Amino acid sequence: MENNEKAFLSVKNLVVEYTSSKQVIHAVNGVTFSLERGKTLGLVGETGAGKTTIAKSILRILPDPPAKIRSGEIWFDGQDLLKLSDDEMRRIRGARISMVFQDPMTALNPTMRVADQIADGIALHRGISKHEARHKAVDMLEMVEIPRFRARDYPHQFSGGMKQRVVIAIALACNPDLLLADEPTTALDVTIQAQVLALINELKKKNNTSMILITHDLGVVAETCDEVAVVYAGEIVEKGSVEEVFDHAVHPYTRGLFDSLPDMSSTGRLQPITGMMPDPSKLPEGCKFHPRCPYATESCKKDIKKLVKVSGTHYSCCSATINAAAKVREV
Amino acid sequence: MAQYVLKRILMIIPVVFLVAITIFTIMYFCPGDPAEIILGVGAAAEDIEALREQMGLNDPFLVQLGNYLYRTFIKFDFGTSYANSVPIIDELSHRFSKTFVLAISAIIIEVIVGIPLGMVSATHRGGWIDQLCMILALIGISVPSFWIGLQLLLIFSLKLSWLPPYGVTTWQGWILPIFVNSLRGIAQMARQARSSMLEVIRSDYVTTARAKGLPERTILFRYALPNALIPLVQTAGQSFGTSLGGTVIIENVFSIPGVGQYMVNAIVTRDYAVIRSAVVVLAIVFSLVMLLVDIAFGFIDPRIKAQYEGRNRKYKWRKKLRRVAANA
Amino acid sequence: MKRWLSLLLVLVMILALASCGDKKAGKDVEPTDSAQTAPKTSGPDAGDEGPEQQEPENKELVVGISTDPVSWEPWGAFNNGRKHLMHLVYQTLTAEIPDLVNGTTIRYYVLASGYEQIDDRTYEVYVREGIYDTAGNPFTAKDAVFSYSTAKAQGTLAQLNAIESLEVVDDYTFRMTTSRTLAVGDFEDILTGFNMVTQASYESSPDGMVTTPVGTTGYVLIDYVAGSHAVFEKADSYWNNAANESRSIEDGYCSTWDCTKLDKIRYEIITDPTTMTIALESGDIDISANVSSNDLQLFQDGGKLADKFDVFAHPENMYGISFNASKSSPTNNYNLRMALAHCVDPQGVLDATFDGSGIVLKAWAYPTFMDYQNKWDDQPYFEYDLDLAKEYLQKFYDETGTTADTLKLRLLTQSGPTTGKIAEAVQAYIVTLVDNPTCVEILSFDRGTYNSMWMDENAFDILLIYGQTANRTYCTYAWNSYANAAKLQHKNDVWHSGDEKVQELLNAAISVKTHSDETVSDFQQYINDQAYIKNLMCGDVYVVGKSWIGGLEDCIGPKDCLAIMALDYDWSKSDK
Repeated sequence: MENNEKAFLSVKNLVVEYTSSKQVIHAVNGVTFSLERGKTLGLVGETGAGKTTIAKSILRILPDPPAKIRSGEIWFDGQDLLKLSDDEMRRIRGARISMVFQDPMTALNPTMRVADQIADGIALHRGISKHEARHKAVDMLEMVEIPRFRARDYPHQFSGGMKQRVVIAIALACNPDLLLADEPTTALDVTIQAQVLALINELKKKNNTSMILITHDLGVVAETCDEVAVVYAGEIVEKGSVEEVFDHAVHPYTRGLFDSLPDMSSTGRLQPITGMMPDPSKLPEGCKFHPRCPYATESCKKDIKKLVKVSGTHYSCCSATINAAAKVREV
Repeated sequence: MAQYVLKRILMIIPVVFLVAITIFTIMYFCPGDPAEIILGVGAAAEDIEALREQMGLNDPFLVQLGNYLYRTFIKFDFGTSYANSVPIIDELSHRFSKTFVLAISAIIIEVIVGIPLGMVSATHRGGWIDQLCMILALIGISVPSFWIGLQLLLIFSLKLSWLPPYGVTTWQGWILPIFVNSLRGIAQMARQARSSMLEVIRSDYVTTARAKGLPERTILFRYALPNALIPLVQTAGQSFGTSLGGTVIIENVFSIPGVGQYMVNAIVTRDYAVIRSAVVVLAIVFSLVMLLVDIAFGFIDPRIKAQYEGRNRKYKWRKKLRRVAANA
Repeated sequence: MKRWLSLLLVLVMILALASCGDKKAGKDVEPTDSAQTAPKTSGPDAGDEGPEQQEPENKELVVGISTDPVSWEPWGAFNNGRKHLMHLVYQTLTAEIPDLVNGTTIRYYVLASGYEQIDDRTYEVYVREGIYDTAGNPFTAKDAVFSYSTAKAQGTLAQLNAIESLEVVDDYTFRMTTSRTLAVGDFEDILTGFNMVTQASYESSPDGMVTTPVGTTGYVLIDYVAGSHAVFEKADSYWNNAANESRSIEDGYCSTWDCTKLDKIRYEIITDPTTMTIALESGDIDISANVSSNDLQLFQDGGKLADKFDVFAHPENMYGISFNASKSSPTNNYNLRMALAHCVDPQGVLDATFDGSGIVLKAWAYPTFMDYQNKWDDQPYFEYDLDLAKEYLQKFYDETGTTADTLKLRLLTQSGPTTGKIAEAVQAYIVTLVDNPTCVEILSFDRGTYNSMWMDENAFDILLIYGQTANRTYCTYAWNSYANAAKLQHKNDVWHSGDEKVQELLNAAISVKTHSDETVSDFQQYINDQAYIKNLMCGDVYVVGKSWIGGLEDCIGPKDCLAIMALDYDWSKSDK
């Protein structure tokens, strides 16, 4: 287990379950990672891997009756967030950690004016009057390139991209230290995507904000992230800096991801990873990827893999691809 | 908004007109002869004929329809009941006020009691409050009103002598009928409020609000409640509409001379004049109530208000200004 | 958990509803006997010293009725509320009251003192002297003529269409000429059926006395709230004070219900039968004629409240089954009609619908009618005999080729709780006879549709027919109403028989000249021979009053109203 003293955010062995009346869904199964100030971590993985759950756990906004954080620690600037009281946590939310959500169409309150939605957080955390907060809110809007005169409009009067920008304004209104961005551009079209990403980056740089960017788009990761962690079935299977992982991917799943990217130069068939992610209520024994892994062995079905250092800050819980390549070379 | 309201009020006129024509036509084709009923069994054929002539029942359909529409809408004369000489408008207004009181009080109580009940249920989902509220709601919807009315009468009138067993001449007389009338409405409203609230609580914008670190109270009242109320306004309006005509049972059990009893009696005795007038009056009241509901909608949900006013008028106007300013 | 809970609640509800319904507990009680013995009279006229001191200042009675009278006009349409109240407001020229104890009808002269038939279509009526109404206006023959003319002009009162002209002869005599010869009892109906007002009072009323009635009784309407209550107070003076002195008809003046022994009467309008019972129990009302039969056990001997209340049974309507004898119906066949007539047990129907309280009828008439032939009581009348019925049914099958599976009968009835039960009971008997559960279909409609349907020969096979009892004087009234082809709209009798003999015998019976025991029994005999109709029974309805109210056997007044003035009040025992 690594011990990164400089870490601003450090998640240790996080386990999260969803309990419904019939079954237990293991959403997050012992996740450990850390993040330094001002850096961006990309959390990559297929839909349903547990990325959003990890982010929501940090903020502790998981829906409480079904979801339960079973164990783990989330160290943020010297405090374990999981041990804070509700009041203390509330003071952190929005002020020191904030989140940008996936679907802009439903993320805003339809019955409140846009400026008010930004202002109420500001008024709360900065302790200033509503009036002043509204001024600041309008400034925020301008920062995300929405004209001032639209401040008193309602969300339904904006397009999808503009709505997302409002969401970003809300998230950054109080200058948080950590921004959790959950697939912020997935619901938008490609041209707007680029704009929004650029905006996020700019604002982030201005305030030295750390960011966790959740996405399934490897291209976006390459553009904006410093570090990356690959999530599969609620576990991190490989992590490191973007160069380390992208250029020297070691885990069979990561390799599979890269291999499945369409290559515009060739005209061969696409190479997806066979099979589907396992049902989180019935996870397989041993390595969770073994049913789909081309390199699986007998021990894979029984032994639980742990993260092992590969080089520098590059960790992976399985290096079968290297061994296989070595074997090939041997032969 | 004012324009919209005006438009809607004007639209009530053709609606009521159509209702009058429809009810007239339906009654025209109903079997059963009012002249025969007035004169009784075994009346001589020529007497029945003579009365039909006198009542104008032998005129062709269009002539009768024309006369009726002319009398009702131009002279505003609702006429007298076929059975007696009491002018219908007097009788109707007298009875209508009672039914109206029942219906309005039911709405008020439903909203005041039902919505908070539902909200509390939703916010304590799965807890004992939720279970209790939902059981009460189930009882409220399942129990027939005449049964609960009579049971309460037995307890409060007979055993305890606190309340009068019939009539609404004193204010105590109103307590039981209003309570019993609201029961079903409260139950329905509570269930609706609960499910609406549950849906809203799980919605993304509430999660956003939570992620902002807002206190639960603010989230409940500024984010959840206004959105949860939107479908409830519709429910309240519909409930009022049905209760206007549907208080027959309560009126019967508690001996309240309301519109419900009046109409049922008129239908059995084929008192066309009463039926038609009552239906027209009900149509007018119902339309007005629906208009109020829609106006309330407009105030709660800005999206709907925008629909009423025509899309983005303010925005277009401001955009124009901006362009002018930019060019200047 | 929710599912079990809902099931439990449904069970609870069913149990509660069931317990609200019929309690078969005190079934062997005979209410008619217990109430009609020992008249509890120790009224104020007992002539003693004692009771006088205990009489309250204000003798007030509270009555519960089930329908709102709506309008107080003298010649408005019948409704159940008006039935009970009108006798306190207006008087008529004569009145006919059924004497249930002796099985006859008594005729009283109220505002009239006598009449004479001058010729076929002219009658002379004599008006009493000294009558005045509560406004002080005197009532004379010209007011009687005014009343009839104004009522006739309304056009809604069928019987008055027969009047061609009215003529005032002098202050106390007038003549009436009719446009056609009247049937038996029709003229008497004109004298008893229409309220009298003085011209002066009627014309000074702004709305035809709809809200401000003025009549010749000893009471004035002082308060009326529509749908809620009506209050009457004794007038300052009453023309018929003699009625307070004597209760005997022989004195020629009064009738048992016509005095003014009460100071105030309050009528409470209670629409729901269970609420009526609760009001009686809680003491809010003292007496009611609209108590539901379900709750009667409470008040009868052995019931919870029996010591505080008395019950009096009086006849409701008579019910019978009448057959469609036209070609379009299987009941066209005589054997089928006989089979159906013999398979229904009237006592059984009575048991099923009125808890056995009432009488079985032996003719298309009720025993108090003045022309009821006593010999009918001793004759067999379609006796209940299932084997005999089966024989007739077999003959029907043989003649027509119909079988138990192909026989389909439609039983038409007016919708309502009582008629519904009767129809089901009749259906059950026929089903037992034919041994086919689907052979009888009940068609139940509201009054208006029912009336138009029985005149359509294609609409029904068996008709559940009903007729009034206490409010009628002659058998011929019902016969005329249903069987007079000349009068009815479809120009046939209720059996669609086209049978001329029926018309011949009917005309003989209803004509004033030829109405006699013979013609009446001939008609009844003929329709029995043809098995056109079997009258079944007449059930009882009840008046329930506090036990300090006596004389309930006289409580049926004009037009079947609850004649509260005829009762005896022991004020010392009341809680006033």
